[in-house]
Amino acid sequence: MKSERFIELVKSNQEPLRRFLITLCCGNREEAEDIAQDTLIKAYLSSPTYEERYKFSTWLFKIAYNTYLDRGKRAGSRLHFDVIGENGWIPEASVEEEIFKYQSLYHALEQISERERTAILLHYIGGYSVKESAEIMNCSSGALKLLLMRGRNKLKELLDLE
Amino acid sequence: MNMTPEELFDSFNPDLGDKDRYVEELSKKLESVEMLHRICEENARNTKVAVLVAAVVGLLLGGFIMAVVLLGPASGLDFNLKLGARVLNFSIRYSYLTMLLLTAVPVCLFISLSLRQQWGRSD
Repeated sequence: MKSERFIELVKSNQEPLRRFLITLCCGNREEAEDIAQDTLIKAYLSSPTYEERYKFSTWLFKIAYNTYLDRGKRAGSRLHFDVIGENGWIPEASVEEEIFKYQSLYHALEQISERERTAILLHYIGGYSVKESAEIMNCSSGALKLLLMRGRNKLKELLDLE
Repeated sequence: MNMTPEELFDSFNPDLGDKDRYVEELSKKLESVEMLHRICEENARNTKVAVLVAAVVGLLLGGFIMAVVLLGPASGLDFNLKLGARVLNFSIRYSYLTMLLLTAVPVCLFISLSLRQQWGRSD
Protein backbone atom coordinates (compact mmCIF):
# COMPACT_ATOMS: atom_id res chain seq x y z
CA MET A 1 0.00 0.00 0.00
CA LYS A 2 1.39 3.40 -0.92
CA SER A 3 1.80 6.08 1.74
CA GLU A 4 -0.76 8.40 0.06
CA ARG A 5 -3.38 5.66 0.15
CA PHE A 6 -2.49 4.93 3.78
CA ILE A 7 -2.90 8.60 4.79
CA GLU A 8 -6.23 8.71 2.94
CA LEU A 9 -7.52 5.72 4.89
CA VAL A 10 -6.20 7.11 8.18
CA LYS A 11 -8.07 10.40 7.60
CA SER A 12 -11.42 8.63 7.74
CA ASN A 13 -10.50 6.22 10.54
CA GLN A 14 -8.47 8.28 12.99
CA GLU A 15 -11.44 9.83 14.82
CA PRO A 16 -13.28 6.59 15.67
CA LEU A 17 -9.92 5.08 16.60
CA ARG A 18 -9.02 7.90 18.98
CA ARG A 19 -12.53 7.93 20.47
CA PHE A 20 -12.24 4.20 21.09
CA LEU A 21 -8.83 4.59 22.72
CA ILE A 22 -9.89 7.49 24.96
CA THR A 23 -12.72 5.40 26.40
CA LEU A 24 -10.57 2.27 26.55
CA CYS A 25 -8.08 4.26 28.63
CA CYS A 26 -10.99 5.53 30.77
CA GLY A 27 -10.46 9.18 29.89
CA ASN A 28 -6.65 9.20 30.08
CA ARG A 29 -6.07 11.28 26.95
CA GLU A 30 -2.30 11.32 27.16
CA GLU A 31 -2.14 7.55 27.20
CA ALA A 32 -4.81 7.26 24.50
CA GLU A 33 -2.96 9.63 22.16
CA ASP A 34 0.34 7.79 22.74
CA ILE A 35 -1.30 4.49 21.87
CA ALA A 36 -2.97 6.06 18.82
CA GLN A 37 0.39 7.33 17.54
CA ASP A 38 2.07 3.96 18.16
CA THR A 39 -0.81 2.21 16.40
CA LEU A 40 -0.63 4.39 13.31
CA ILE A 41 3.14 4.03 13.07
CA LYS A 42 2.94 0.23 13.44
CA ALA A 43 0.14 0.13 10.86
CA TYR A 44 2.23 2.22 8.47
CA LEU A 45 5.25 -0.07 8.84
CA SER A 46 3.04 -3.13 8.31
CA SER A 47 1.12 -1.57 5.42
CA PRO A 48 3.16 -3.41 2.73
CA THR A 49 1.70 -6.68 4.05
CA TYR A 50 -1.88 -5.36 4.36
CA GLU A 51 -4.33 -6.96 1.92
CA GLU A 52 -7.00 -4.55 0.74
CA ARG A 53 -9.66 -7.26 0.64
CA TYR A 54 -9.83 -6.99 4.45
CA LYS A 55 -11.51 -4.03 6.11
CA PHE A 56 -8.90 -1.39 6.95
CA SER A 57 -10.63 -0.20 10.12
CA THR A 58 -10.83 -3.75 11.55
CA TRP A 59 -7.13 -4.23 10.88
CA LEU A 60 -6.31 -0.85 12.45
CA PHE A 61 -8.42 -1.49 15.54
CA LYS A 62 -6.78 -4.88 15.99
CA ILE A 63 -3.34 -3.23 15.98
CA ALA A 64 -4.65 -0.60 18.42
CA TYR A 65 -6.01 -3.20 20.81
CA ASN A 66 -2.78 -5.22 20.70
CA THR A 67 -0.75 -2.04 21.28
CA TYR A 68 -2.95 -1.25 24.27
CA LEU A 69 -2.35 -4.74 25.66
CA ASP A 70 1.39 -4.48 25.03
CA ARG A 71 1.50 -1.40 27.18
CA GLY A 72 0.65 -3.82 29.96
CA LYS A 73 -0.91 -1.40 32.36
CA ARG A 74 -4.35 -0.14 33.13
CA ALA A 75 -4.25 3.46 32.01
CA GLY A 76 -7.41 4.07 33.98
CA SER A 77 -5.53 3.66 37.24
CA ARG A 78 -3.74 6.95 36.45
CA LEU A 79 -7.06 8.59 36.31
CA HIS A 80 -7.98 11.77 34.58
CA PHE A 81 -8.75 13.61 37.78
CA ASP A 82 -5.06 14.52 38.17
CA VAL A 83 -4.81 18.03 36.91
CA ILE A 84 -1.16 17.82 36.00
CA GLY A 85 -0.03 14.72 34.12
CA GLU A 86 3.16 12.72 34.65
CA ASN A 87 5.25 14.75 32.22
CA GLY A 88 3.92 18.05 33.52
CA TRP A 89 1.15 17.99 30.96
CA ILE A 90 -1.50 20.50 31.91
CA PRO A 91 -4.78 19.91 30.11
CA GLU A 92 -6.51 22.77 28.38
CA ALA A 93 -9.70 24.13 29.88
CA SER A 94 -11.82 22.43 27.20
CA VAL A 95 -10.25 19.07 28.01
CA GLU A 96 -10.90 19.55 31.72
CA GLU A 97 -14.53 20.37 30.98
CA GLU A 98 -14.79 17.32 28.83
CA ILE A 99 -13.28 15.14 31.54
CA PHE A 100 -15.89 16.52 33.94
CA LYS A 101 -18.68 15.99 31.42
CA TYR A 102 -17.82 12.35 30.85
CA GLN A 103 -16.41 11.48 34.25
CA SER A 104 -19.29 9.20 35.21
CA LEU A 105 -18.86 7.25 31.98
CA TYR A 106 -15.08 6.95 32.47
CA HIS A 107 -15.53 5.96 36.08
CA ALA A 108 -18.08 3.29 35.18
CA LEU A 109 -15.86 1.94 32.41
CA GLU A 110 -13.03 1.63 34.87
CA GLN A 111 -15.19 -0.54 37.12
CA ILE A 112 -15.72 -3.23 34.50
CA SER A 113 -13.02 -5.63 33.35
CA GLU A 114 -10.71 -4.70 30.49
CA ARG A 115 -12.10 -7.35 28.15
CA GLU A 116 -15.72 -6.42 28.88
CA ARG A 117 -14.85 -2.76 28.35
CA THR A 118 -13.17 -3.52 25.03
CA ALA A 119 -16.13 -5.60 23.84
CA ILE A 120 -18.58 -2.82 24.76
CA LEU A 121 -16.50 -0.09 23.09
CA LEU A 122 -15.89 -2.05 19.91
CA HIS A 123 -19.62 -2.60 19.60
CA TYR A 124 -20.91 0.85 20.56
CA ILE A 125 -18.06 3.18 19.56
CA GLY A 126 -16.48 1.16 16.77
CA GLY A 127 -19.81 -0.08 15.44
CA TYR A 128 -18.45 -3.58 14.88
CA SER A 129 -20.51 -6.72 14.68
CA VAL A 130 -19.95 -9.59 17.10
CA LYS A 131 -17.90 -11.47 14.50
CA GLU A 132 -15.68 -8.46 13.74
CA SER A 133 -15.18 -7.64 17.42
CA ALA A 134 -14.27 -11.27 18.12
CA GLU A 135 -11.67 -11.10 15.35
CA ILE A 136 -10.17 -7.95 16.83
CA MET A 137 -10.07 -9.41 20.33
CA ASN A 138 -8.89 -12.78 19.04
CA CYS A 139 -11.64 -14.74 20.75
CA SER A 140 -14.69 -16.77 19.68
CA SER A 141 -18.03 -15.12 18.88
CA GLY A 142 -19.59 -16.94 21.83
CA ALA A 143 -17.01 -15.53 24.23
CA LEU A 144 -17.51 -12.06 22.78
CA LYS A 145 -21.28 -12.25 23.25
CA LEU A 146 -20.77 -13.20 26.87
CA LEU A 147 -18.36 -10.31 27.45
CA LEU A 148 -20.79 -7.93 25.78
CA MET A 149 -23.70 -9.10 27.86
CA ARG A 150 -21.81 -8.90 31.13
CA GLY A 151 -20.30 -5.52 30.33
CA ARG A 152 -23.67 -4.10 29.30
CA ASN A 153 -25.36 -5.36 32.47
CA LYS A 154 -22.66 -3.90 34.67
CA LEU A 155 -22.79 -0.54 32.90
CA LYS A 156 -26.58 -0.45 33.18
CA GLU A 157 -26.27 -1.01 36.89
CA LEU A 158 -23.43 1.51 37.41
CA LEU A 159 -24.94 4.25 35.27
CA ASP A 160 -28.59 3.46 35.91
CA LEU A 161 -29.30 2.96 32.23
CA GLU A 162 -32.45 1.57 30.66
CA MET B 1 -29.69 8.33 33.71
CA ASN B 2 -32.69 7.66 31.44
CA MET B 3 -30.68 6.48 28.51
CA THR B 4 -29.97 3.28 26.73
CA PRO B 5 -26.34 2.25 26.22
CA GLU B 6 -26.73 3.15 22.53
CA GLU B 7 -27.87 6.67 23.40
CA LEU B 8 -25.11 7.04 25.97
CA PHE B 9 -22.35 6.20 23.50
CA ASP B 10 -23.96 8.12 20.65
CA SER B 11 -23.80 11.22 22.82
CA PHE B 12 -20.12 10.61 23.55
CA ASN B 13 -18.32 13.17 21.44
CA PRO B 14 -14.96 14.26 22.85
CA ASP B 15 -13.11 17.13 21.20
CA LEU B 16 -10.39 15.63 19.02
CA GLY B 17 -8.96 18.86 17.66
CA ASP B 18 -8.36 19.80 14.04
CA LYS B 19 -8.53 16.68 11.87
CA ASP B 20 -6.32 18.01 9.06
CA ARG B 21 -3.64 19.23 11.45
CA TYR B 22 -3.56 15.84 13.15
CA VAL B 23 -3.09 14.04 9.83
CA GLU B 24 -0.44 16.57 8.73
CA GLU B 25 1.60 16.04 11.91
CA LEU B 26 1.20 12.31 11.54
CA SER B 27 2.52 12.43 7.95
CA LYS B 28 5.67 14.21 9.14
CA LYS B 29 6.24 11.58 11.82
CA LEU B 30 5.72 8.78 9.31
CA GLU B 31 8.33 10.32 6.99
CA SER B 32 10.89 10.26 9.84
CA VAL B 33 9.94 6.69 10.72
CA GLU B 34 10.36 5.61 7.10
CA MET B 35 13.80 7.21 6.92
CA LEU B 36 14.95 5.41 10.09
CA HIS B 37 13.49 2.17 8.79
CA ARG B 38 15.49 2.53 5.55
CA ILE B 39 18.73 3.17 7.49
CA CYS B 40 18.20 0.06 9.65
CA GLU B 41 17.51 -2.08 6.59
CA GLU B 42 20.64 -0.79 4.88
CA ASN B 43 22.77 -1.59 7.94
CA ALA B 44 21.33 -5.10 8.10
CA ARG B 45 22.14 -5.56 4.38
CA ASN B 46 25.73 -4.34 4.89
CA THR B 47 26.27 -6.83 7.72
CA LYS B 48 25.01 -9.70 5.57
CA VAL B 49 27.35 -8.64 2.74
CA ALA B 50 30.34 -8.47 5.13
CA VAL B 51 29.67 -11.97 6.46
CA LEU B 52 29.22 -13.35 2.96
CA VAL B 53 32.47 -11.76 1.73
CA ALA B 54 34.36 -13.17 4.76
CA ALA B 55 33.00 -16.65 4.10
CA VAL B 56 33.84 -16.60 0.38
CA VAL B 57 37.36 -15.20 0.91
CA GLY B 58 38.01 -17.73 3.66
CA LEU B 59 36.89 -20.61 1.44
CA LEU B 60 38.98 -19.42 -1.48
CA LEU B 61 42.07 -18.91 0.65
CA GLY B 62 41.56 -22.25 2.36
CA GLY B 63 41.18 -23.96 -1.00
CA PHE B 64 44.28 -22.22 -2.35
CA ILE B 65 46.35 -23.24 0.65
CA MET B 66 45.10 -26.82 0.38
CA ALA B 67 46.05 -26.91 -3.30
CA VAL B 68 49.54 -25.57 -2.57
CA VAL B 69 50.09 -28.06 0.23
CA LEU B 70 48.82 -31.04 -1.77
CA LEU B 71 50.90 -30.15 -4.79
CA GLY B 72 54.06 -29.92 -2.69
CA PRO B 73 56.32 -32.95 -2.17
CA ALA B 74 55.07 -35.11 0.70
CA SER B 75 58.53 -36.43 1.49
CA GLY B 76 59.64 -32.93 2.46
CA LEU B 77 57.54 -33.15 5.58
CA ASP B 78 58.80 -36.33 7.17
CA PHE B 79 61.55 -34.51 9.09
CA ASN B 80 63.85 -37.56 8.70
CA LEU B 81 61.89 -39.47 11.36
CA LYS B 82 62.52 -43.24 11.51
CA LEU B 83 58.86 -44.42 11.49
CA GLY B 84 56.85 -47.02 9.58
CA ALA B 85 55.48 -45.93 6.18
CA ARG B 86 51.82 -46.22 7.20
CA VAL B 87 52.24 -44.14 10.31
CA LEU B 88 54.31 -41.61 8.42
CA ASN B 89 51.66 -41.28 5.68
CA PHE B 90 48.95 -40.82 8.27
CA SER B 91 50.97 -38.12 10.06
CA ILE B 92 51.70 -36.32 6.84
CA ARG B 93 47.98 -36.36 5.79
CA TYR B 94 46.93 -35.23 9.23
CA SER B 95 49.47 -32.43 9.18
CA TYR B 96 48.08 -31.23 5.82
CA LEU B 97 44.61 -30.95 7.33
CA THR B 98 45.94 -29.41 10.49
CA MET B 99 47.91 -26.86 8.51
CA LEU B 100 44.82 -26.14 6.40
CA LEU B 101 42.68 -25.52 9.47
CA LEU B 102 45.35 -23.57 11.28
CA THR B 103 45.70 -21.26 8.30
CA ALA B 104 42.08 -20.96 7.08
CA VAL B 105 40.40 -20.36 10.45
CA PRO B 106 42.49 -17.35 11.54
CA VAL B 107 42.29 -15.92 8.00
CA CYS B 108 38.48 -16.12 8.07
CA LEU B 109 38.36 -14.67 11.58
CA PHE B 110 40.70 -11.85 10.65
CA ILE B 111 38.68 -10.88 7.58
CA SER B 112 35.40 -11.12 9.48
CA LEU B 113 36.68 -8.99 12.38
CA SER B 114 38.23 -6.35 10.17
CA LEU B 115 35.05 -6.04 8.12
CA ARG B 116 32.95 -5.78 11.26
CA GLN B 117 35.34 -3.15 12.63
CA GLN B 118 35.06 -1.17 9.41
CA TRP B 119 31.28 -1.42 9.57
CA GLY B 120 31.34 -0.33 13.21
CA ARG B 121 33.44 2.76 12.33
CA SER B 122 31.05 3.78 9.57
CA ASP B 123 28.19 3.93 12.14
